Amino acid sequence: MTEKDGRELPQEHHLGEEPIKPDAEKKKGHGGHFNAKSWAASFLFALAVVAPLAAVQGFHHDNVPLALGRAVWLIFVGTIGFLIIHTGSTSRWRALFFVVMAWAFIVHFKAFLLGLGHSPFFSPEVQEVPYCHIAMASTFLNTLYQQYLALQSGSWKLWGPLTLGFLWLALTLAIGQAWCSWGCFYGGLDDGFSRVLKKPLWKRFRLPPRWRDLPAAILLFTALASLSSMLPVFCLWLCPLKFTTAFLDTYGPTRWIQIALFTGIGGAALVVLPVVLKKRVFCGLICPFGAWQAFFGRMSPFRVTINPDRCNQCGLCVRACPTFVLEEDSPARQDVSAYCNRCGECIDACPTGGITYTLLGRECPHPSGGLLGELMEARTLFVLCALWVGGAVGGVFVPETLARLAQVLCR
Amino acid sequence: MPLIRLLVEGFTLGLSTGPYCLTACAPILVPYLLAEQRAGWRGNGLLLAEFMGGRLVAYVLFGFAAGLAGVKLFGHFPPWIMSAALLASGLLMLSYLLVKTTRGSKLCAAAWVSKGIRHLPFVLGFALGINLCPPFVAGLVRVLALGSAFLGTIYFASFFMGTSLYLLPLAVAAPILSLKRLQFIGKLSGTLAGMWFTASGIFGLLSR
Repeated sequence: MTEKDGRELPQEHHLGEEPIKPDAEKKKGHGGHFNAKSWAASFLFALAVVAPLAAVQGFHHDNVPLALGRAVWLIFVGTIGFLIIHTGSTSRWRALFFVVMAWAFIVHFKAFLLGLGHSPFFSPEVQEVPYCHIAMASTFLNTLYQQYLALQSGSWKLWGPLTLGFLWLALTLAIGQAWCSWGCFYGGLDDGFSRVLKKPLWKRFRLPPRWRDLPAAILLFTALASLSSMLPVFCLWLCPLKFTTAFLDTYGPTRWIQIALFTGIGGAALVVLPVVLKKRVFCGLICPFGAWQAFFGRMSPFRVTINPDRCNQCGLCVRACPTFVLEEDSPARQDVSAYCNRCGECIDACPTGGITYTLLGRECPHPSGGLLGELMEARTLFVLCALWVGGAVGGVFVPETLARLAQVLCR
Repeated sequence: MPLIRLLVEGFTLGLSTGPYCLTACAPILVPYLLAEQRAGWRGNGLLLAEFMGGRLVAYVLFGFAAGLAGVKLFGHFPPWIMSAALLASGLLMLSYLLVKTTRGSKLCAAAWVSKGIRHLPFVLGFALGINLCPPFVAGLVRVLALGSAFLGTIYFASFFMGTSLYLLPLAVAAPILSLKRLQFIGKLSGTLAGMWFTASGIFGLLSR
């Protein structure tokens, strides 16, 4: 197989298939460990992931199913951490974690709607819609305007609770744009559907690079339109998750149009196109929070970096990237755009170890060697932070979902 | 009523409610400025000046008409005007983007199209200016009570001055955001805003 210019391309590789086995020496350069020592390092890492999460979650002896749910969740997160370090493969195990979290959220959410429990994702200020991170980005100007009104009126109660600001700042400093592949409880939906088939049905699809800015345009529009109408426009008109909420009534043509939009966007961007293209279409081309995090995510020190010395420009990373971040010429330019989710798909696909997690573009030196040196790589630190964030977010609803499922199954 | 007092009253009303006017104009104006990508403060300042000129004409006409009609008009204001203005704003924005993306075609070569595009900021400003937002209605009620075309014109001109202060930062920010990539983002968000305004206008008219 050759390209137009006659350059040799490597054997066709598809997502979901077993990645090309990397040369162990080269792979070790980006954190793969295949020696016996890695058992200890992986176990230590899993403990480092689980211990703070367990401390934050605590144990409730009065509610046994919930306590068991929390224990199962912690074991699951720890196992994911262990496997990521032990196998040297990042995205495969991340995707498992991510998809489980997303579907647990859907179950939790639906259970709330059926009156089976309470949810922290509903806000009395924004009726009928959960106040999630996507809503936060697209109604940010409204929040600012409310703060302006608070300044005028002296009503300081308006400050703070609506913004979720501190939580967002903490997770953005920790993992930045990686939220979209490690912490977002919606992202696992199109990630999951993009893995249904081994090969994309539409192999020749190439997105014109400038269309990757569509989420930024949607963010700009929804922010301004939300401010103009004083309503969360993205939530009311574009969010496919609303298909499952109270919007399932049929009051008039407006509601029918809303339902059609939710269904159309959800069906196309969350299910059909991810299956057809093997790409995360909603996350890559629609979600305004993705654009928001691409801008502010630079605050986090973690990066995905292409090493020109190791990269042979085979293009496997471009094909593997599920969020349209890498363009055909990205490897040659060593350019990874700010939209990168740090999902690790390109890192796993690279046969030469030419793409790595770095700290501000530099690989973490580990002069001490040994167990500590093994754990002090940029990749290890990144995955640790990402699993802390994802584990903490999932800890809000996954244990409750597990407990509820167990109760239903035991009836 | 002393004229100076009326001027201050209109200006103060505009100043206190100006952010609302900014929010009403921003969904169209911001994507337009991004899509246009004029270089420098002067070019963007001229665009904004034309836009505000359109708003001023709309405000003054309203002030004049309301003052002339006096209290007799109160309660008989055509309710479809706001929806029609939204529809016009949306269609204008969509037409502008269509022409901009098909530059070089026969459609763009037509003199009336290029002339229309040149004066688009003024027309957009006029269409968005007659958006009956709550501050605008507050001013309208005040002028209806005054019952004088001259006083109504003065009141709305000063109201316009107060609200316009909030739009000025856009002219300062636009050149800083002068990037080819942002131009495309401006076009995309402008398309969404155009569709949004058009749909809002149509729904508004149909629900009458």
